[in-house]
Amino acid sequence: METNAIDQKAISTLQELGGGSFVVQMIDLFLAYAPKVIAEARVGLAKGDLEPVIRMGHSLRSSGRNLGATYIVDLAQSVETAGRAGKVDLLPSLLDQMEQAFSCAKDCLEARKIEMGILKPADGDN
Amino acid sequence: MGTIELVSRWSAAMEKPLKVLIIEDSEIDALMLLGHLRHGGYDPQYRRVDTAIDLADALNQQSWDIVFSDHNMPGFSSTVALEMVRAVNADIPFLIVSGSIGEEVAVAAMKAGAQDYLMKGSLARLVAAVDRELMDAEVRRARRAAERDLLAREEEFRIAREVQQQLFPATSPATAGYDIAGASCPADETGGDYFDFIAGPRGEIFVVVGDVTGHGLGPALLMTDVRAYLRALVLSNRSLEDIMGQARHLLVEDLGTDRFISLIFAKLIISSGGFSYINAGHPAGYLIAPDGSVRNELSALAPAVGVDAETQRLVSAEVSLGKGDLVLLLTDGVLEATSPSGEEFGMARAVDIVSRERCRPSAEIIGSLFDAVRRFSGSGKIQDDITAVVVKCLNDTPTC
Repeated sequence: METNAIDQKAISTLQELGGGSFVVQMIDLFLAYAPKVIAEARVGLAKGDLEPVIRMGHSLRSSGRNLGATYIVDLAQSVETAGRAGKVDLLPSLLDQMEQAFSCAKDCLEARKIEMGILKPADGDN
Repeated sequence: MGTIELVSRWSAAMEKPLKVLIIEDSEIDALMLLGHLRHGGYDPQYRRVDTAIDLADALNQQSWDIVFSDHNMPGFSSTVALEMVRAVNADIPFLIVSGSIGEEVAVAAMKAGAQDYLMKGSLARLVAAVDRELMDAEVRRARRAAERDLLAREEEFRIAREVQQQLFPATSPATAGYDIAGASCPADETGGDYFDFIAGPRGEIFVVVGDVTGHGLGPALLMTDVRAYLRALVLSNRSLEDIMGQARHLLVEDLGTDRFISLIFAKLIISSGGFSYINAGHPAGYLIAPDGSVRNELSALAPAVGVDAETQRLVSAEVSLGKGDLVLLLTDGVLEATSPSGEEFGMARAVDIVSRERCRPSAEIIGSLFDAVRRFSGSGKIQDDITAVVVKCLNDTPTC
């Protein structure tokens, strides 16, 4: 899963659109944003509030696509669909999978930054 | 998530500035869209909003060149956003950029006034769509501005026509031995034609035919001045030159630097048939004899009012009207009426028609002349106001 976590074509598109700085900006934004909305979804689900769950699914579906995080996009679609349908029983597992997928995507995106010479390995924990 | 951002941090060198309002709950998606715009040569200054309150604020704060809207947002949608945008601006391009929008929703959005919709995963045609919509919006704006100007001009000309029509004498003077008539027909773009008959204190009749340069309300209002000054001054019992000189003195102040008035100001002594006149820069009048020939040309002996201010002396001249004689006074709208081939109606044609029609009542002579001008103009529409006055000294027994 890790090797396929990010579609390189999407990163190339970002590079073409705005150069290395744009890629970094998009990756950093995604890495800051995704865990936040996943955590909000967790809290919401625990309270029985599906709104933050649906919002997480909806937003990661499109923002994940921008970065080529295809597995996240698929999972986000499933989360949004299940949330809108009120299929609460499916959601804990989907959120677990989403957290794992994000962890893989994060490693992969940071690796991409290093490969591209945008980020040095020593800075990888930022 | 933050809802409002105002950012302009990219190099603007050689890029087209673009004020972009983005209705989008995802900062990452907004950034992606901006990336495409910058790559396409735009320098976007943008604000991102994702609530109705913030959208209303953004629309209040400044004008925008283009609006992009996501379709589904928590508690907000492109449908509502479009209504809000259209309520304040009918022309601004509104493009829906959505991850998932059904065909029915897209069609409904287009019907409601959205210009286009694009899928978030496929923004390759974004810049081409923006280029096209900005151009179309400019065309829409220009068309609306032209329509507004046209309406304003039509309203001005409507008012000018009303003012002008109020100035003309309601009836012709009923004077034994004379048949006097005048008429004026306004063009679509009402000009400054004017005619008047004023009864003098000694039973004489003053006849005025004038033309203020220009079209619209300005000339119409100046005509009210001319009419008021002359009507007041003829009561003073002074000479034609004095009356005209005083009127010119008063009018020069009102004219400014870019207008002048051509005028024939005449006095008919009923008992003697004496017809004295001052022609200030106006097309010549004509005295047509009973046999239809031109006996006298009442040419300009002074410049128009407003030209050379008051340095030129006003000179009057006099002709004598015998039985069967006819005086024709015109404005340049008659003479300069143009045929579809570009030929001008001209004085010779006008004199010829009046000469041929001389035995008919004065009002009918003018009617024939105006009909001829309209036919000559081809479309039936005249380019400028046309005005004519005919003063006929009646025969005891009609000879024709």
